[in-house]
Amino acid sequence: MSITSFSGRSFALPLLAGFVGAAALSTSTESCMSYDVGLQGEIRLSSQVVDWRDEVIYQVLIDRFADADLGNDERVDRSAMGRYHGGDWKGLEDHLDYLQKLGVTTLWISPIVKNVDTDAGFDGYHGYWAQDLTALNPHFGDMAALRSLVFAAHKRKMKVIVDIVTNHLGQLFYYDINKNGQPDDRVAGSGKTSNVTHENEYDPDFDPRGVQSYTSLGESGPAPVIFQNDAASNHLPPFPEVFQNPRAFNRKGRTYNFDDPLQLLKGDFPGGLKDVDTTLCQARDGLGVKEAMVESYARWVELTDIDGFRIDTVKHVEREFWRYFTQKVRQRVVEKDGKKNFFMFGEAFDGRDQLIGSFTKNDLPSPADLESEQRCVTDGKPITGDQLDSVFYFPQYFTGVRDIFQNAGATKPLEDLWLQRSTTWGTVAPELGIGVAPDHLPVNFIDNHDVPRFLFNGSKEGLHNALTFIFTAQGIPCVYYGTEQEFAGGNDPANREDLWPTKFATSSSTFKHIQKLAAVRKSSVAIRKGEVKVVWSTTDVDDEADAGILAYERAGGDAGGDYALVVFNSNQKHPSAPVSMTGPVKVNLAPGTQLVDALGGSVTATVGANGALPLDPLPPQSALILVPR
Amino acid sequence: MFRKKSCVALAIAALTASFPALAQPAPDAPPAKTAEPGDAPPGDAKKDEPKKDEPKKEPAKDAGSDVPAKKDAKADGADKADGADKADKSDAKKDDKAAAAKTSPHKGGFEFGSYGRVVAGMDGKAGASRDADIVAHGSRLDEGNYVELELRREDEWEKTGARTKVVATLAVANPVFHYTGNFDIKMAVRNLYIEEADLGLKGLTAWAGSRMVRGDDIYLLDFWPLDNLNTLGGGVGYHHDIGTSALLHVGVSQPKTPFYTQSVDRPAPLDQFGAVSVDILNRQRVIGSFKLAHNQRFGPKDRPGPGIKAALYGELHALPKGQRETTTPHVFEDVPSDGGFVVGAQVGAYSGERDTHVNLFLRYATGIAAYGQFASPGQLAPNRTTDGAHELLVALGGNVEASIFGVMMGGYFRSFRDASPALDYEDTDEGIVIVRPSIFFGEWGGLSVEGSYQVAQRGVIAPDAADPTAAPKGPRMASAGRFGVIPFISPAGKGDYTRPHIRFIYALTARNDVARDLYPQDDVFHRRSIDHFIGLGAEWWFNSSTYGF
Repeated sequence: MSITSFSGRSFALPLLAGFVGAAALSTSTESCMSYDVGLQGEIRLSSQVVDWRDEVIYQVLIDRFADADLGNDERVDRSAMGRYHGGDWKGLEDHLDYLQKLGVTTLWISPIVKNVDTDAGFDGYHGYWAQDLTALNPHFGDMAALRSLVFAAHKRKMKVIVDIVTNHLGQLFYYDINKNGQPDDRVAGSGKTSNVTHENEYDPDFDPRGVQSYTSLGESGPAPVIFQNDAASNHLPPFPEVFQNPRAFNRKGRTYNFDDPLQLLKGDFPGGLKDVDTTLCQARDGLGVKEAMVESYARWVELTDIDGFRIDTVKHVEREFWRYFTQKVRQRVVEKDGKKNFFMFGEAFDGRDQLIGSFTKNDLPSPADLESEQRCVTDGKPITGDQLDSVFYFPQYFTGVRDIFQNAGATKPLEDLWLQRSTTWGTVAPELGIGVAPDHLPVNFIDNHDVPRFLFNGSKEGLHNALTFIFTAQGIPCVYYGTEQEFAGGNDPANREDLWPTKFATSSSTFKHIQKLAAVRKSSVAIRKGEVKVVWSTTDVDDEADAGILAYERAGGDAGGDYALVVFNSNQKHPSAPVSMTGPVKVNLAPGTQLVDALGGSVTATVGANGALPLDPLPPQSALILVPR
Repeated sequence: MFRKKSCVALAIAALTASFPALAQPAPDAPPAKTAEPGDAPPGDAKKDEPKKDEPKKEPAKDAGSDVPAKKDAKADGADKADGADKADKSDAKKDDKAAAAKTSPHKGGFEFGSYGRVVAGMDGKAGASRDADIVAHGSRLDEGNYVELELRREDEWEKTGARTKVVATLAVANPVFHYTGNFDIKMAVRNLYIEEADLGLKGLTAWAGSRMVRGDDIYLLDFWPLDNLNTLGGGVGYHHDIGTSALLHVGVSQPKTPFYTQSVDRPAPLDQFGAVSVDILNRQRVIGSFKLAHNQRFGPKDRPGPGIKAALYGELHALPKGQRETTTPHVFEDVPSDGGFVVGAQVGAYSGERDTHVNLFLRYATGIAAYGQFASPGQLAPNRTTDGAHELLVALGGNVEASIFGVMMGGYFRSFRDASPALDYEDTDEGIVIVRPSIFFGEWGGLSVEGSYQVAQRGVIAPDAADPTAAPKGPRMASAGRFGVIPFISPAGKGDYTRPHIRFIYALTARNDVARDLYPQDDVFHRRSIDHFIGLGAEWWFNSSTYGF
């Protein structure tokens, strides 16, 4: 054996073979580094929902739910509620068991797109400061993590709704009011000692003409819009690129009077969130804002197979936009991609039922306006009157949850509110929509990330009563994360607590109560799909025998022969019963029908003549869900 | 649902299939054996490495410790017979000339050694030059300036027969004053230790201090694939005349990152003014390493001859638990202990003639050891440790010289997965193949050409820049190819490892779209597919200590 063979040129051959092998190995690494099936590449969209009335929604502020991926804990500061805390999509996926045990069937997650990272000492942890609608927020994970969450949820028959914002983007530019090329905190007066109200260049007051430049000699025309360019805080020009055109924004300054329709629609959202001119389209206006919104958000559906949108601040956006956006998204997602029952519900923080219901109505503008809207259409599918599938039921939050279950007010206003829904809300299911008329599908909640938690102003008994209410009222119940752990935070951001310190315990009475309500709802077609008829409400709030009583039947409609009677005593001081001088509450059941409490209580009742249903007084802040035995 | 696939089986299978000479010895070749220690590359190519204009690692001054001519004869175990003879003579002197020993107890002197490379480079538009590699250990053609200055005191003690070496190595990295005009320096102490050889037992070596501990490298990549430790500690080694050696080392290191340290301000004690910095977290990584090696030389012992060698190598890394103050002042959280290990092997062969050799390295690391020695994990496991992190490395390096020709070669494949369960940016598969043939013009110089191809894949699903709205198809493969021409003057004679060199370098690098996406927006490497490097420089090495002990 000649060892010198290693020094001969022939040695080069096996050596090179080794190199080639290493190269081949390197170039075949797709087999080494790959994700599970579906986490990369094209995916096939699925239809997860049969009837949205069967769902129980759980609202998750991703940053506060669970932190499973420590690698994306960038700039986490848990000492301040206004900073990133580290929660992520993986954390939510890891705790689907917990939510399934609670009875949740649908997850509504906070916005997913890339945000301004930090601004004026606060972080974009909530997700409502979009900077790039085409990219994901790395604080929450990546595409694989989001897909993994959605797929894991679907595997459990759970659905995922993503929060989106079309009204505004984050604070991405400033108005160079004094034209010195830098953002100034104070360029003029406060409005108190002079007419000048341009307090700073990030968030100047609304001006119907558009924010004006101003010097010591007076106004000098429209203020230039200057996009910021700070990569560290992600104050960068927005994406898609259409938003880098100042025309894509209304540029009128911050809304200070929400009762002024112009400010409501055209003003920046307080905090310097720049209002997008959502009326613009390419074909008609030469700038495709509408198209960009549809493309950006429909793309996320196609990339992740999410099942719906919760849409932020809808009252600040023109109805014209909602007609275009909802219809084009449905045509894209439902018609083209085959994903049925894609749900879109909006949020309008407003107690005016007519206003929030208007976004669900199938109606058309004036012929001239409609003709104008049609000029935006380039796909041959004309705009119709369809809008959102539903809205967040804020009027009910004020009239019912706050006034009745927190403050023991009269229950009659709630009946009145419900009665008007058939006129204030849409009564026709949108084409390609979810198949249920909007007025039958309000999204019911007791609190959320924009209002104090129920327990901040209410008792645990009241909380349980309110939960029973939203689980039995017509529509879809929506539970804000942490409710089951009896969080009691006040206004934003105190109501955005970290969930993980609870260790996801399932022992609280509220967790068990929600669990029970979800089970009752699941077992009762009447509660899910029945029509609603109030059989007892009252204006009494003091010592009267029925003070605090609210009773309604759920039956008829799509409930088949199923029936449920829900009775509340929201009075906080004394037992009350649905009884008056004329007798007890009357229900639409045959005499002799025996009712039992589906919540497991010992109460039973038998229907008497003419539907009269004698009930013993209910303890303060308690409820019955009576179903036929 | 995430899955991090192991590339171990795949790598071994591919290597075995593609390098039959190792799996099954050729009829005219000796059976492949192990060789010498290698080194532990960092876990993350981008985070662990110095910046591109700084030295990636310590310079490769030896083509490999398998090349006897490159070894320091006074410290190398392969030449211990010579040292033993001297020790015997010392013993004789001790008996016969005790009085003389009192006035002349030893022989000794100062030595100076150095490694250095300096280059004046530019890109194709006469802009400043820059390293264009996309892998952790790429072609060294476009490396920046770096020099080591070693001052060494060597003594031979007549009373004991032991030999002492005190080594201090200062290393200086970019920039240099004549380039920036800034009268400052970026300097580090790379070696500061004492080594005692033949300490009571022939072949027994001990050292203590701060030291680079390394084995064989792949010159073209400036890369020590199996072992490359830089610690403050000590070690012992034993080298037997038959060529077998065993080395043990223990050391500590403490990178100044929040993974290791945290200091907070507290009011000065005893009601004094001001604040005092208090260490809340102050832990260090303890690293132990061992190497068992055998170097089997053939032919007469009195002159260079062929040989084969093999080495088994291992490291243990341990990091104690600690505490860290959270973002809420005075609220503390536990930082769990951490650990990891490295196992590796090397086989090699050399002809004994003109630095012809080949080395194959295989290395597997887990836990904290999978990250570079000075790296801090960016991604942790849910239990806040590096559990689950691992790295697989297969590397090959070699050199062939005959007549007026020489060919240097190298390549490696590396698969790194961090501790985070999900694939992410730190997760990397990468590799490179590189070859540099040369022709020597007499004993005065020559011409080299170099070709390399490197690929890298990060665990990120990113949209395709060409079609950003399409569904991302998974981690994409970045690649870069390079071709270089290097004419050089080599007054010390011909040979791939002969230095000093004065040389001209031209290199063209072509990168694909995915490689461009590794660089941020507006970076010229993001914008350009083709880059040129033009440089005039020098490289030398002489009389430095060996890294082994």
